[in-house]
Amino acid sequence: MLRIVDLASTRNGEPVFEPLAFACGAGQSVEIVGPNGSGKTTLLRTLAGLHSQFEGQFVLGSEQDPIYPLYQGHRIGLDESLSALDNLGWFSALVGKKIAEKDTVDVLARVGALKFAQTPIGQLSQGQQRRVAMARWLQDDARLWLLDEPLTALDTDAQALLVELIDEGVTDGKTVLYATHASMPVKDKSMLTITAMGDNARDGDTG
Amino acid sequence: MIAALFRRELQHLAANPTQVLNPLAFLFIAVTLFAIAVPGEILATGGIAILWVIVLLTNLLALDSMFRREFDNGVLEQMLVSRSVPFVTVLVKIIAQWLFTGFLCVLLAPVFSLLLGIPDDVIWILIASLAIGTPALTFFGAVGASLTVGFSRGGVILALLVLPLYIPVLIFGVGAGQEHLLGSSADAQLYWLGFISMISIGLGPFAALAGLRVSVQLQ
Repeated sequence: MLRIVDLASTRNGEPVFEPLAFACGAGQSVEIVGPNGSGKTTLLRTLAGLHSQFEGQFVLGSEQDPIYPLYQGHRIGLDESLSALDNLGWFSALVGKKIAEKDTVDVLARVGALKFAQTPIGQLSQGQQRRVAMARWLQDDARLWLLDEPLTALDTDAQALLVELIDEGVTDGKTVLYATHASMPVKDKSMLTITAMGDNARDGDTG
Repeated sequence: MIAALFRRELQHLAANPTQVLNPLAFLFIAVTLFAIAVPGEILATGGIAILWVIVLLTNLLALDSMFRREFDNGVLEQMLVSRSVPFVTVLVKIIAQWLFTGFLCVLLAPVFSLLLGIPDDVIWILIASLAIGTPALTFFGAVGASLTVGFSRGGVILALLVLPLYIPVLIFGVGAGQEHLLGSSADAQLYWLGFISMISIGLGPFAALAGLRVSVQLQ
C-alpha cells in the first residue's frame, strides 16, 4: 500500500530528516512521532505530492495501481464563505463523485456537524471546522489518509470521534498515517519516529 | 464537474461581492479622474490609450486575490492533491476570473468611452479589441498570481512580473483604436491581439498550475 525507501525530504538540497525506510499494507495505522521541527509535516506533504524536493523513493499503492491520498494539513481546506454542505458538494465534484445530498447529510450527522451544516465555515469555531473536515474524509473514498496533527482544536468528544473514525477506516482496509504530539489510542497502530537531520538519533520504525 | 466548479466560484462571489466590486470601483474612479483632469481634445485621441491602461491596472488589481483565498484556507492544497485533474480546476478559476474582470470591462467599455469622450465610431473597435485582448491579461496574469501567492505581500512583485507581459496587449489594443481613428483598417491589430490571447490561453493554465505547485512548497 505504501512503501518508503530511504526517503528524505530536502529543502535547498539539504535533507530535512534522517532517511526513512518503511512499508505498510492496507488496513494499518501509523503514528508518526518526533519533536517540533523534526519534519513530520514535510514528510506528510512529500507523500501527498505537495513537496516535490526529496531524495529516495516512495510508492503509494503499487506501480501498476497508484492511489491518491487524502491529505489533511494544518490549513483546514474548507472555503470560509461557504457552508459545510456547499463545501462537501464541491469536494465531491472535485473527486469526480456524484453524491446524493442525503449521503452528505448522513456524513455530517456522523461527525456531529449537522447543527451547523448551513452556516458559513468562517463563522464556526476551530473545533467545529475540524469536524466538518472529518466529514470530508468520510466522503472521500481515498484508501490512504495522511493526517497532520488531527487532534488540533478538538474537544474530548471530537478526539474520541477522531480515533473512532481512524479505527473504522483501518477496518475498512484504509491505511492511515497521522502525525501527532499527543499519543492517540488507535488500535494496533505502529509507530514511526522521525528525527531531524543532524540530531544524530536512531531513525526508522519500531512496533 | 466543471459546472460544480463554476457554481462554487459563483457561490463564493455571492458571499464576497467586494472581490468584483472593488476593482470595478477602481476602474470607475480612475476613469472619472482622467475625465476630470485631461482636456477634451487630448481625450478625443488619447482616451483609448487611457482606458486601456486603466483596464490593465484593474486586471492587475484583481489578480492579487485570485488564488490568495484558496492558498490561505488550504483549498489549493486539496485541489493539487485531489485525484481529479488539477489543470481543469485551475482553468475554471482563470475563466471565472476573466468573466468577473476582463469581460465586465468589455461590457462597461461603452459607458467609460462616453465618460472619456471617445468618438462614437471607435467604440465598437474598442469593445472588440478589449474582448479579444482581455483574456490575455487574465491568462498571463494568472501565471504571475500563481507564483506570488506564497508571498504575504506579493503585490509589487506581481506587478513587476505581469505588467511587462501586458505590453504587447497594450500596444495592439491601443493600436487598433488609433488605426481606426486615422481611417484605416484595424484588422491587423485585432488579429495580433487574438494571436497573443491564443498563446496566453494555450500556455497560461499549464504555467499557472506549475506556479501553484511551486508556491505550495513555500509553506
